[in-house]
Amino acid sequence: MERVNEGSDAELIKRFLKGDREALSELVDRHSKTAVRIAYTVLGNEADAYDAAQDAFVKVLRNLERFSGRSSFSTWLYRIVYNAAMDIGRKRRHFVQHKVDDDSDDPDVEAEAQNMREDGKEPMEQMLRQERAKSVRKCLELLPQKYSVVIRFKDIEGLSYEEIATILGTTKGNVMSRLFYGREKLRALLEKEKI
Amino acid sequence: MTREKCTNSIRRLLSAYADGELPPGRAVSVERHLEQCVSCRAELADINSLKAAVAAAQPQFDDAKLKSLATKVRVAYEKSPEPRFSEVVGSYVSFTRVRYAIGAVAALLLVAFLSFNWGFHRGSSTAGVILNNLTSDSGAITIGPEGDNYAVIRITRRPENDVTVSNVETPKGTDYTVTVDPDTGTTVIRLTSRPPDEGPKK
Repeated sequence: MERVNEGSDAELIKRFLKGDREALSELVDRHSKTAVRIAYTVLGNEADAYDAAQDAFVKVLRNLERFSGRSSFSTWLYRIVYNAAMDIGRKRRHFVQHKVDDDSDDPDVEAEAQNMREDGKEPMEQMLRQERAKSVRKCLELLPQKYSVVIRFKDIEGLSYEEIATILGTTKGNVMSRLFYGREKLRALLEKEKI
Repeated sequence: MTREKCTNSIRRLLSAYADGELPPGRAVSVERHLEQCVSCRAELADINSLKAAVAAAQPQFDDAKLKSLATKVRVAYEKSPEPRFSEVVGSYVSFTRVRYAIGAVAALLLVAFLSFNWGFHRGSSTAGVILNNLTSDSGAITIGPEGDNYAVIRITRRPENDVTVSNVETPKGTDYTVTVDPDTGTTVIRLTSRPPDEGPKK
């Protein structure tokens, strides 16, 4: 995860509360990537992930004055993003497990194809890497959501157990257990895929 | 060849160790264990390689689209109404926790109600209400479970924290006592129970 300076977040929040709308853009820009990825982790759909992130940002901005600072701003924001994504998921009733075989909405495929075009290098190694990444994503999507979410939060976003526990509204011990069992299941799936 | 694995509790620690999430003392114990255990060393290597594979599989999003999110948020923010209280609370509180909290409160109320009822029927002394936190000058309170031993009491507070009790409604077989602590001014109303031999009311 791109760690951002919490001190700077506090500065931006102050500026925003004083009416500086540029601070709003800066605040969104610095957290948008992680926010969208967290929502995507829950929803498995890019358009919905953007909607969830947008809803969450608006909610956060509306409630900045109430932000107590007990947790960091980013953890608070990501928790709200997670809840917004869960709400959209409940409404639309499609979760990430149902998207496994559908690459058309997968942002990774497009991005990787773009990278390959730009590199113009011998594509063999990249193709293998791409295939492996695709299989890992597929297996992650086959996992029950309670496991895939913690694995992605830890290994992709680099969040701490405490941050994950706060976002999910659970305990650190629970996060530790889910990671252990989730990794066991993921490894078993990858072995089946021969990765 | 399949290697013999250590217990799940040790392997769970390995997973947390790989994440750098163990407190220093625990981490040292794991390191000591790793020095002796070939299986766990291999397991740790597996976990690290899995972590790397997952990290490499992170989804990529279009930078321009991410950049445009700030503008969309700004527009939506300007248009959005002030949040309702329930929305604010909802963003902090997980549904699971709310369900647990409601369940816990319901269980406590049930236990309190049953204990109270049981004590009453057993003829143990009483149910009581302390009136030292009475904030208004008058009011009516019900003591005891409805439909059983209970009393509806009208209370009027007079100067010097003195309390009068009037308009008492109690079913047959119940009675009450009023005591006032002269030092603290605390008034306690207690219902006396039925006679012990009468048993629970059907």
